Amino acid sequence: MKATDLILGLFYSDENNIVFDNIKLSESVSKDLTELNLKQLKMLSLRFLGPLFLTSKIEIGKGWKIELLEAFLSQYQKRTIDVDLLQSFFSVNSSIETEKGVSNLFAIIGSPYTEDVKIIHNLVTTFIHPSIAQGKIAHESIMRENFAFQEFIDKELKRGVNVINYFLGSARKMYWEEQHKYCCVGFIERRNIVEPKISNVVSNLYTFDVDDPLKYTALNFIPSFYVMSILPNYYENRINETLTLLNKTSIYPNIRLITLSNQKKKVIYLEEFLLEDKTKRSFGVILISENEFMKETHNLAFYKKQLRFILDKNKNMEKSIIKINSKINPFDNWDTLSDEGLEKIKKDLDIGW
Amino acid sequence: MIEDIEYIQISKIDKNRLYSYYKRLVHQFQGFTPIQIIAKFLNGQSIGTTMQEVLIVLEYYKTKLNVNRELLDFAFEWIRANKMRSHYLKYLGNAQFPDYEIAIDACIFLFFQKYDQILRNLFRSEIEEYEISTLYGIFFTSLEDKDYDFNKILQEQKNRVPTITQETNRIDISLYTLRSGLSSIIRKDYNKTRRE
Repeated sequence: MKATDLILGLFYSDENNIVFDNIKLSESVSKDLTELNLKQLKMLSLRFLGPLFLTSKIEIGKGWKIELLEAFLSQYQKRTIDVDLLQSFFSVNSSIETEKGVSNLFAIIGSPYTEDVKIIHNLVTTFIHPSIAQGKIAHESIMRENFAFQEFIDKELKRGVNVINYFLGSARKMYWEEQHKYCCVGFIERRNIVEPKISNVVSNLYTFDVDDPLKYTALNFIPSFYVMSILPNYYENRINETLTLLNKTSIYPNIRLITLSNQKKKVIYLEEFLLEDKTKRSFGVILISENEFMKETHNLAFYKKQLRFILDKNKNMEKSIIKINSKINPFDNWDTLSDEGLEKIKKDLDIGW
Repeated sequence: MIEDIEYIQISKIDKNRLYSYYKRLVHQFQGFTPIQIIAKFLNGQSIGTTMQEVLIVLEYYKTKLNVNRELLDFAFEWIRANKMRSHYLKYLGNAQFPDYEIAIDACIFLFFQKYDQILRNLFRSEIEEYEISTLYGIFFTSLEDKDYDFNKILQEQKNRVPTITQETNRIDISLYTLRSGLSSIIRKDYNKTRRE
């Protein structure tokens, strides 16, 4: 038994994109770790932020930010001894914009409990990251040229890791935000083979018709259909990579939630999965906050229920998509696995008026 | 972070009851100046060991108050802080912090970050950050801690907490201010709960 499995990495990238880190691993995780693995783990923080760095404009106030990424971890069916007891894997990002540029504080967390991710998100975004930013300004003002930033940030990241670690294990709560109404602008169907190791087999996006005015409206509320299409596979693969690096090979990730924001805009990707005979079927919805242009809105519980109906009760996927948003075309799928398919999404779907 | 409903419970004070007590004191001590009555009022709510000790703080901060705020509002906030202190101490006693540094961060995150927004509403925008951190040192100090000296705390905080402006904008360092004002108090309380 490995009841104390823990992965906790805190990464700070300053306005010049120089990354500082503090990584805490339980003994059971760190004992077989090589120097090379640890180096690769540090590089992963940048890859976690990758898709948005690649596609968004890195201009103040114009970039999309990843807020939250949450995944369940499941055991491979055949492993009964020497199992890894990590249950949650999630990452939280906080971005602060100043005139000097953007700084990011990014946490990657693997824990043996089902975590209250919201409290960790609040801790990182409203407390740890602002404390670092404010501490830096105050120390610079007091100590001027004697201010040693490396020493300061090392101390701050250590403090941050310790306080996050303290709050891990908090019971999940129901938050009032979950009652907000959202509108679905895309539906993703994925199929993976999970043994001997995860491989993507099918990944399709369903959305509005190319010439539907709602497609153009949706583009104002999401980074792009291309980014939204690649995120689930991309992040599932990154988490898998992290787990492999840390020798956590008896478990595999299942994306549960991805939250992105751009100033007041917020996008949620919500996914449910079912494993049957080594094949994992996942269905997810791309949701934006209710707005004056989109009429069909529901709360998160509704979407979760519809996704579970398809998985557990074999409800017809096409009918369910129509129930979720009657304007989405359930018969035209956009391949999100092949380069050609993704190019087509960029070319045909991501073009505005 | 403490949920809003829970936070309202923790920080709620009965202003009507307090106000009628204050009015009683106004009638009772007609020879006192308004500021002396407020000091007496706070003493009556178990704040400060002597009237003089409270008077020094009131005298200092009365000139810093926002135009629509009075010393009585300041007194209410001191009472609110006192109430919050008892909740925070209960939490500190029950939580199992591995060290005082985590206790400081967790308590500021859970209890004091929200209170900061309430407290700052009392004052003019020109108030210096060290004056706010000093106030934390006063409001949340243990009543048993009799050796505190207002002017000494003020001087210490002045050396430690800058007020930073960029052009005409004041830069937010409220979390830094909170840490500066509260760290040693939380550390002392933490050590005390460990000994008990």
